[in-house]
Amino acid sequence: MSLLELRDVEVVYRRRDGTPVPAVAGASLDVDAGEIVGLVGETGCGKTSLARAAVGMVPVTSGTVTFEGRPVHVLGRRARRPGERRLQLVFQNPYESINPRRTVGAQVADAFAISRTPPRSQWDFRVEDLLHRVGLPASMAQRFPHQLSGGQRQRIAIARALAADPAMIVLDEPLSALDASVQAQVANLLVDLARDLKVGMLLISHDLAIVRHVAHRVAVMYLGVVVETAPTAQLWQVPMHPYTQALIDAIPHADGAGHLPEALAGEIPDPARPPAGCRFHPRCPHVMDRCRVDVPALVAKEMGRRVACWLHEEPAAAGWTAAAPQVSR
Amino acid sequence: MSRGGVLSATWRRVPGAWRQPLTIVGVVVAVSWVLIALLAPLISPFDPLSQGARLYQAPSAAHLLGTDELGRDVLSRLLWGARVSIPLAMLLVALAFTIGGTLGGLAGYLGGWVDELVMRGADFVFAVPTILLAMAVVAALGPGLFHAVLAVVLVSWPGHARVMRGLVRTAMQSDYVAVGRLLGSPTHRALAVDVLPNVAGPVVVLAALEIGNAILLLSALSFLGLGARPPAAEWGSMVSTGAQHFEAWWIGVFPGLAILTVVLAFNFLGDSLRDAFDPKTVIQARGA
Amino acid sequence: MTPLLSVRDLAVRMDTAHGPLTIVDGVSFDLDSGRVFGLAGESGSGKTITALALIGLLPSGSRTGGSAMLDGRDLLAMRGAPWRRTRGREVAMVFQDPMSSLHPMLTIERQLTEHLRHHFGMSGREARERGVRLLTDVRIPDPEAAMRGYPHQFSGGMRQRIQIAMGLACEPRILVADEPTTALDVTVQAGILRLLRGLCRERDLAVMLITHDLGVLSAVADSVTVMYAGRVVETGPTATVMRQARHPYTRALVDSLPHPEAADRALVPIGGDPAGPESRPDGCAFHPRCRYAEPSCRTAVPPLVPTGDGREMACPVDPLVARMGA
Repeated sequence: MSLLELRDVEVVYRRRDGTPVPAVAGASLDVDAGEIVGLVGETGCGKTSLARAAVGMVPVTSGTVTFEGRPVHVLGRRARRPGERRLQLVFQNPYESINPRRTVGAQVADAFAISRTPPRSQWDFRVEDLLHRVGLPASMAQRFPHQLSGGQRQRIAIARALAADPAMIVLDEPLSALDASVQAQVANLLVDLARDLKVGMLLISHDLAIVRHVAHRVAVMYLGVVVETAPTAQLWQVPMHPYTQALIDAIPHADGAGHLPEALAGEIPDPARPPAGCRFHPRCPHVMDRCRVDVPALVAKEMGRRVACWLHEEPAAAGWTAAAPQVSR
Repeated sequence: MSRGGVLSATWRRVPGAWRQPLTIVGVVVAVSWVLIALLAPLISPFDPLSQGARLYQAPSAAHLLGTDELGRDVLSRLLWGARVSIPLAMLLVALAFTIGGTLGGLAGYLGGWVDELVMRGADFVFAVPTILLAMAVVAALGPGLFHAVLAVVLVSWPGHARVMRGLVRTAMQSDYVAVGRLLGSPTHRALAVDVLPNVAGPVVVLAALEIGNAILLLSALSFLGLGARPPAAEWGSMVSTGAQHFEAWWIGVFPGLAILTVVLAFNFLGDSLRDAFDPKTVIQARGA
Repeated sequence: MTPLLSVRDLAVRMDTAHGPLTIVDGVSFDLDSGRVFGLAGESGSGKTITALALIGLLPSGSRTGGSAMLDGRDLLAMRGAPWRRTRGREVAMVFQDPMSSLHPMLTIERQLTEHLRHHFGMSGREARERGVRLLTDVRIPDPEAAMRGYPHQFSGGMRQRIQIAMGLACEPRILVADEPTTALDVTVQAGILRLLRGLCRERDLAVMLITHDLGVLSAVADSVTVMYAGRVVETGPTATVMRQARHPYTRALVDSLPHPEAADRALVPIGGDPAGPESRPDGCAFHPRCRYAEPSCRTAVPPLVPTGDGREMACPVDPLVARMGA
């Protein structure tokens, strides 16, 4: 059993006029200790909603979220249960996730103050230790957030989560708001933390290229469902789902080759009115008749991979085999 | 140390945000008036109620601001008037702030029917023109300064409530409050540690600005005869009297100017408080 | 080929909360018709201010230096009425967030045709037809219906295309695009990049593409100019600059990006944070973060010099040479 398990999770919001919008329409995912799972997808795929549901910030309309074998409760008026505090979330925007009126050291020590351990006398020492662990000098503890850069703030946000001694951290686009030269710093930090502290991480990102360097496994979401999961290297070498292939083809590379990335035809549909059958079928270059009608389930394949695509259930029909290597970049 | 040296040394310790000309003017004038209110019995040349002098004297050496229709020294009445308007305005704002702030804070924090109740109550008060509502309250309770104060509190609390509610709601929805909740913070801790510090600034600024408003409202009520009753020396009623004796312009103009300067001073003060509460401004000034 | 726009020693100084600062410190480059000129930089590099200076949209209180010559006219010296005739007509700009640069309460038709009627005095009907053609050029499906729509009814990618159409309405010679795809999904970005490149070639348009994303520039730009802390550190043909970056900052930036070939190795970050105008170090602005820094780098600002392979670079140490010599 995995440390964090999401099974058939649905998260439905309501618009002002009452129409239900299924931001997440049945997603399943596992994350183990010390493992970094990248969750990638574009606008409207539901990855942020899934991240929030995973830590209990939003309720799931159906399906289950389990952490350390126990169901995750939704945050209500009461304080979060102690057991669930080992499941943390780092927000996307480091300019909004830190209180501007308190020193960053005080905020890192929040977990200590709330859980009342360790004793007050040890706080300064422990905060220093955490700051070092995220690559910041101890002197930073006295500063206010506006004196820190975006990258530094994001590290503070991570240190704050680490203070709760988490077994699992969900990170919602932690690198998007950072400069390119700084993204690498924080990305490496995450890899080190996962390895050294055996913390599991669910890393939400729209940037596949960086996820490739950081994650052990990748899950791809489209319009509220997971369409493919695989170990990172294999996802890139042999993408099985056409959407994954489209995402990979769309990435521009800084290699000076002047190669224009491939665009994906069509638009993301309204999540409230998803296409029938396979949600990706209107835009899929390999669409078959079956795709327009039947919803493909996420099926396990060899080497720990899963994919939800009729092409891999009917190889003869499409002339497409999972073994054929795709052009990788 | 020379006087210049002491002054400049003190000046350098004043945070940069407070060195703006308008701020200085605001602070100086507001403090002056507060001092006047405190010291009026000592510095007032005459008893504000004594009617000994000649009537309708223009400003002169003996009576710097002239005398009014009953032979009372206008300057003395002006100084004593500060003892009425300023403390009452402060009391009034403190009351409105406490009542409105608490109600608004509860509305923002609890939401639901509490929010609805408080906000609809506020809407009702807003819907009626301020001065009319105040007049109605005083008319119901009977004239007098104390009732005027109650009336102004009644029409002022919704402003504080609305601001507080908005700020509390925004703060409760902020990411850093969510982070605290995820760490296991109970909501009351979130309130104390994350919400209140971010809310205090704008709310205090509003209070400072409201002092000016309160003085205006009190004066207006007295001007209409609903507040201070004669022979009390109160600026609003002095202006009212002055309006009836146009040739003796000094009777109404000087109290009017007093109201003007006090209101402006507290407005400048409020604006500079806004800057002072912003940690960015404070920190930069320290480095400057 | 004579350049369309020649920018020489462009400098922008602004009064900020930190006092008067030099945001852009002597930047020079040329724009050619029919080519995409890439301006790369992170936060604090001054790239956006450079663009705003060229289109005359600097905040009040800014002071400019240097020149930007377009057909013998200095764009930086123009004010008021001549600028209003030039802006939109000869130089157009596309911004990052199409939602905030499109008026939410006006129809697309109204926003598109407004420029046409203002600059060309077209009639409503003529402008409308032209608008439909523009929307077709930027590949908006069903342009007639789109004209009647409002911005919120379109996706981010569509809105960006509409913004580009608005920019092209008066057939400018220069299109400045400031982070046009940063807010878009990668699959949508690909479409916009193809569109920009296509328009550039078809209309002999000079496109100035400003972004922090080197991948975007690599795909679309013919030349790349890299800015750091208000100055140009390297400039040249895209392939040359990206494949064999010589300036330490450019090298480090390219190295810090995820590369498909190096997927199993850790990323190579640049230590520290990008320098902004309020904290620009003396001498070479990059020296505190530079592996090759020498004592002279702390005091002398390195000039931009040609390196003989079609590029210019501002670094006396020149890692390529240093490595070969060592």
